[in-house]
Amino acid sequence: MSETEILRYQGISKRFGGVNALSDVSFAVNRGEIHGLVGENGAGKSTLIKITGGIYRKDTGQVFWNGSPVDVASPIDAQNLGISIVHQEIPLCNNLTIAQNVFMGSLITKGFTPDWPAMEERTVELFRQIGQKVNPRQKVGELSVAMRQLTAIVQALRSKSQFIIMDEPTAALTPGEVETLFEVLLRLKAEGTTIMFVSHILSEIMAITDRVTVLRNGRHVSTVNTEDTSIPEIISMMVGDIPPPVHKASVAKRDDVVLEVKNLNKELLGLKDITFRLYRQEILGVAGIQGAGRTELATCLFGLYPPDSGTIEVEGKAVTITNPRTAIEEGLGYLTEDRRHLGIFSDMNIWQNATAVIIDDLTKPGTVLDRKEIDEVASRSVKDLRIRTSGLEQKIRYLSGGNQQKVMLARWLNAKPKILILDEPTRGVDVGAKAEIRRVIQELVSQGISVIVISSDLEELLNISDRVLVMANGTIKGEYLAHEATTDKVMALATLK
Amino acid sequence: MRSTSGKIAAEGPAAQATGAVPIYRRLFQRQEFGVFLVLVLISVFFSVSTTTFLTMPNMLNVLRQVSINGIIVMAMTFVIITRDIDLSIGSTFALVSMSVAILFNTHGMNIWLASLIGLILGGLLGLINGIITVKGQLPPFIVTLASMMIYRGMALVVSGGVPAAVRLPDSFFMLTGARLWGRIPVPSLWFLGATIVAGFVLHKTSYGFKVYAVGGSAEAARLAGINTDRVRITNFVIIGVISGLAGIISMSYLSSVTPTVGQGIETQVIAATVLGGTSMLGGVGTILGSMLGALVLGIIRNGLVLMGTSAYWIELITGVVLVLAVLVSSYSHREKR
Ligand SMILES: Nc1ncnc2c1ncn2[C@@H]1O[C@H](COP(=O)(O)OP(=O)(O)OP(=O)(O)O)[C@@H](O)[C@H]1O
Ligand SMILES: [Mg+2]
Repeated sequence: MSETEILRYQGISKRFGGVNALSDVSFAVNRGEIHGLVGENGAGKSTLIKITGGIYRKDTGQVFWNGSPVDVASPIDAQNLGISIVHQEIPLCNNLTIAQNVFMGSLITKGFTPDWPAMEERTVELFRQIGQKVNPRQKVGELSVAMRQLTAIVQALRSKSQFIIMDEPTAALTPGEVETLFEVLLRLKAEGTTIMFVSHILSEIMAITDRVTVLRNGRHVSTVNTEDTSIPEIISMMVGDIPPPVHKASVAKRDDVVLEVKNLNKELLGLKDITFRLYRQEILGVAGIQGAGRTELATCLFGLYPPDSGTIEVEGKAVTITNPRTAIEEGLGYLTEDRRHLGIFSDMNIWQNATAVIIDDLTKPGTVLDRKEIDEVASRSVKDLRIRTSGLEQKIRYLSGGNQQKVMLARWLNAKPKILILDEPTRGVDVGAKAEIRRVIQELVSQGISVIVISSDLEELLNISDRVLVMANGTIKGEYLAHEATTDKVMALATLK
Repeated sequence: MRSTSGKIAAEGPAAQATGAVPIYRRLFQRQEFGVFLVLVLISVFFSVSTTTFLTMPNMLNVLRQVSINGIIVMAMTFVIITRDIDLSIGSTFALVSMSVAILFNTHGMNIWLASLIGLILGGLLGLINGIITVKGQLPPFIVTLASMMIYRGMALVVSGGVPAAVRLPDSFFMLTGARLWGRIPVPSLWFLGATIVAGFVLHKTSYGFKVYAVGGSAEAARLAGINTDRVRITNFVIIGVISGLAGIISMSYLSSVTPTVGQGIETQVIAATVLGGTSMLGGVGTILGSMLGALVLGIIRNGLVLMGTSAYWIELITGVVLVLAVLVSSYSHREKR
């Protein structure tokens, strides 16, 4: 066992029912390095991390910590060793404040009584280090996904552990926030902290890590020095070769307006005077930084929070959308960014999740569920989107994060809406699936559907969209045709005061 | 009444916004405001519609009537915040008070020692509920439904189904069941004490914080290193001890105990807790709210009796008022759309 190794996995295997989540995985993480962990959706990254953190027990194999074998049986064991984990699914208590969540496991107390002022002060300070201003007394349930992610990160930073594992911490963050996070990671590294980092965005892996481990189908493929490898090489280790993205020409019909929004206001969501058009078969991107109001606009259009004033016309006909039901009836679909809370029915299975919106259409009135047709639809989704599952009866909560996302996408694709709003559709999906989702979107528009895409991955957004709206402070600041837009131009508008 | 709620108001939820917000706004925003409003409304109603409601003797009477259930409501608040429930409280109440009576009457045991043994018994009964629920990963509803029958059965078995009269020594009676200066009922002082202690523990200690954390997300709490099993089991032990305590106080006040005593109090106690703003979904609730909830429920019954309502109608009207009260009290903190 080398001196430099802080953690070594030796022959780790884990089965879930019929699925081999991990088979005989062995590699080591060196002290003081930033170690990337990559692999397709369902490759076993989160499973390995949960074994490290004492949430799952390994079936076979041994974990070595600082050279000696350890048995991590619970999260408390992991904490005592000095391991902190930012989990992919961001478990936080919505009923508690930011400060309470950050200090949940180890309160600062004065006698019997928790010293909230001291903890709130520390929380503000910790958030300042990652470039954020917060109200430490705000309830976590009111936070955006990005802020929840940052809260989880701060929770891990707070404990000053020797070893911090982050499972897709950047999936919910905007580029600016990612940059600040990386500065923090580099500073931690300079202080001697070891970091393991999971991301599907390979440019991030190249930028921040010292070494990279690739998992594929639960097996260890290779651990390489980052400077000795390249993105294409990592991809081929992860999935084999994928065809390069083809940029299809736009099929948008610029004389046929599908959706027209005029002077839309919603005070509760901070939306002011929103006016825009969506053309038939167009892919309309919506760009903006965190808090610009992109998700708010989507939830307002979809009737989750009906607008205070303004008009919405679908195919030239004024419509009143008061709740998601009416929105769906008018031909809208909305893929949420908050999969865990607003998307999945976690204890229901794949076919139920994939057909939830169309279950009435698949059932003749007055009869029982038509399982044959449902199964047909659901298996087609599984096949088209290459969802990695042990079957249609599998509960969705047991799928990997990226595969859950694909099921959510399937739900809305099956609903065949006229207008589909996709909020961070590729969040947490692997490179192969990203290309896949992109292909699916292009196929959708060629079938006549019009699509609005919200994404924090600006490069991807510019690549896929025909036109991009730029939002800031709850209003639309301007728009670009895709071929004239650059990330710099868009960012300039998005950060305009 | 006003003075009691004033005292407890000092014990707010752990993280309530302070700062430059004006006092009256803060009052409106508090989650207890709804149930407080209900309390005021029904008090005004009964003051106007009866001549006897707003009199000192009757107020003290209400306090006495709510105190036995009210003491248990305090413990139930903890239990419901962690998304658990305890249906066996009425049976624990009976089994403990019956056992104390038997130890005292038949075995001539010192009443203080008998009561101590009774409280330990209550804790054990709660511990059994807790361990089976938590370690067995079973729904608390089912587990405590079963133990409700088992503990009730035990009370019937040990007593042979026969009620017992208890002649308690003065010193004990004075501290549990008497009226001080012939007026202030001692049980209501226990209620007040339970409220203050519960308020302190839930809102001011790290144990209370852990209760909220477990209720908010057991998974998040566990990942943060909180021993969630221990918190939940402790809650069951607490409510066991407290139900036993309430049983002993009730026995002292009535100077007798029957093996069927306390039947159905679980519905009263749970209703009061939820009326006070504690969410059955977990993670939300305050002691001040629970205390107000217990008072509201007591006042409804008391007022209806004073109005001369027939016993058949009281049950029906209480149910209707309960639904209306929950509607009013939840309206103030409903999510905006
Ligand atoms: N609790 C569980 N029960 C059953 N199967 C599970 C469970 N947890 C994970 N799996 C399965 O194990 C495999 C590995 O999942 P894991 O979450 O580790 O993937 P991942 O590499 O983190 O993927 P992603 O990039 O999508 O997050 C998947 O096939 C998943 O369905
Ligand atoms: Mg994962």
